[in-house]
Amino acid sequence: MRANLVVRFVFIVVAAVVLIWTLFPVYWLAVTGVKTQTDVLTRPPVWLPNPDWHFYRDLLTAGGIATGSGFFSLIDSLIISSGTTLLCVIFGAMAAYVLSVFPGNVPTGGKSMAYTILTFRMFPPIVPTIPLFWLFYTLGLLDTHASLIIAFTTFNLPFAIYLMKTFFDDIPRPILEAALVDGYSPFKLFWKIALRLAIPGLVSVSALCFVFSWNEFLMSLILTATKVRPYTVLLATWMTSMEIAWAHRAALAVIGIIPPILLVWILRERLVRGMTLGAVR
Amino acid sequence: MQTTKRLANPVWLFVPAFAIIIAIAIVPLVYSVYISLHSWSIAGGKAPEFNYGLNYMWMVTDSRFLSSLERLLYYAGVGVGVELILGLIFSTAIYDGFKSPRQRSIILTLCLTPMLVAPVAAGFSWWMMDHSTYGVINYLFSLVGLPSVDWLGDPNVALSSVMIAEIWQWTPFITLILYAGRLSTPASLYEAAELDGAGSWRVFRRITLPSLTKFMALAGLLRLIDSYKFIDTLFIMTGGGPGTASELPTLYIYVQAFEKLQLGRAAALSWAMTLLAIIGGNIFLKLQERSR
Repeated sequence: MRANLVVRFVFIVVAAVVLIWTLFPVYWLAVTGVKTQTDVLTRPPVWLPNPDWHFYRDLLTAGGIATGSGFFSLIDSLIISSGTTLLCVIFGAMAAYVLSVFPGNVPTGGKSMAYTILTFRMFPPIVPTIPLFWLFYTLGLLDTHASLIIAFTTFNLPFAIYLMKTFFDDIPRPILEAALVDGYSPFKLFWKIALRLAIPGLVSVSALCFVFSWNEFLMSLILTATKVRPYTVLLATWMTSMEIAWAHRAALAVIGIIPPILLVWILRERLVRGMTLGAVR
Repeated sequence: MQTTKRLANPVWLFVPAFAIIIAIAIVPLVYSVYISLHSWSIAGGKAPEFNYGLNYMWMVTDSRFLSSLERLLYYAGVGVGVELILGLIFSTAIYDGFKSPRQRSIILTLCLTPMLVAPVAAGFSWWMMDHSTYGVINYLFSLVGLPSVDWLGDPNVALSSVMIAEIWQWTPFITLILYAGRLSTPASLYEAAELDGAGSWRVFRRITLPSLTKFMALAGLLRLIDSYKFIDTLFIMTGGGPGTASELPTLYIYVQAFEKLQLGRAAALSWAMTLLAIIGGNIFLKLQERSR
């Protein structure tokens, strides 16, 4: 019994070390964002600064060196992520429902279709981006919100379908069969019953699509230029004068990481399946 | 009867998603096969010119590409290996260190924070910490008398520094899978072991580890695939530098396409990497099916 207590104590110490390792880089972003210009670049570093919020003010309002570009880039990110999420959830749920409930009606047979869909998820994003870049260039769509919504859908829609399907799969078949016997059409079954039973799944798929789109960087970098600039692109390319911009960038990063962290904290129990890509149910 | 049945066919619900996938995934991919078979530099304003698979010949002899593959082997192999070991330690510490579900859930969620941070933001934070003069890491090194290291500027260290940031960000993913795997292990196994008076280490070796093997395989494979898919952290921390010392294949595709403006070559490289993705994806699905 005493040996067990020792073991537990060791585990608690390990967990504490893990938490410090895990949270330190986030803490460092947060404190850098509220440091004064001189506190940013000192040695020894300032661990607990007297908070100075003027970088946040610069970011979120017009004026200052950032002249509000931080604010507009966050709005761009919001528009693009919401658009992608909406598109993926609506069409993803419809497709997943058919794949789950009526696999025999899908052209290639439900199973190989599900395989193909997941394979898309495995592609490096740079692969579709090169042809899409040329396509959007030809269509004059580069540097618009639409181009990024379309591009993000390439990798989020397959993911949404795949994950939604596992939630429809969980609905007990007798419920669905009973409704069909009662004369429900497949669409009515989808709209009135299946969709409602799959709402927890719908919520977690939406949250994850939103987070993936919000955090995306490489496609955004390639497909945008000056008019549209998601916050990740601004963060990476914001090189005013060398190291001076540390605090500005840190402040932007902090604002940018808040929405995903909030979403996941609220929904944490429901997101396990999605975050593990269905590896764990 | 026949007509109502046909009207009732639900497949039209599938059509929009199917059409979207065809239009924005399949068409560009097929188009990229076409590009990969042509010599096409967008800089010259010339039309693409069919070149008999020369891009693929170029690819297998291009030393910059081959050494980037070598680097990927190190980066993915060592990185994912460390993530698996750390993930196992983390998930065990959380599960066995705390008994109340509430405490466990809070600590686990805190542990997941890194994977929610945009890779660009994570890379930026590590970039600041790795700074050779003002970085926290070198400061801590100096406190314990270690020499300061040029984390991102030394060609021998740069890729490992990026790998450390990647390990920081994605160990939580493995922790989550292994923790959930642990939850699904029947409690009766542990009760039986306790009755037998088995020690903690024995229980870990004989019960915990074997029951987690399949989850480790799935998690490791997903991470292997992701480790070459995403290059955000690499892009912001070193940009492949110094020189090409930390360049990975996916970043090299970007360089060929958007710095050297050689779309044909970039498309050929993409297809090589896609092949890897398809193989990896299919192994994942087979494993997942077997584990049910």
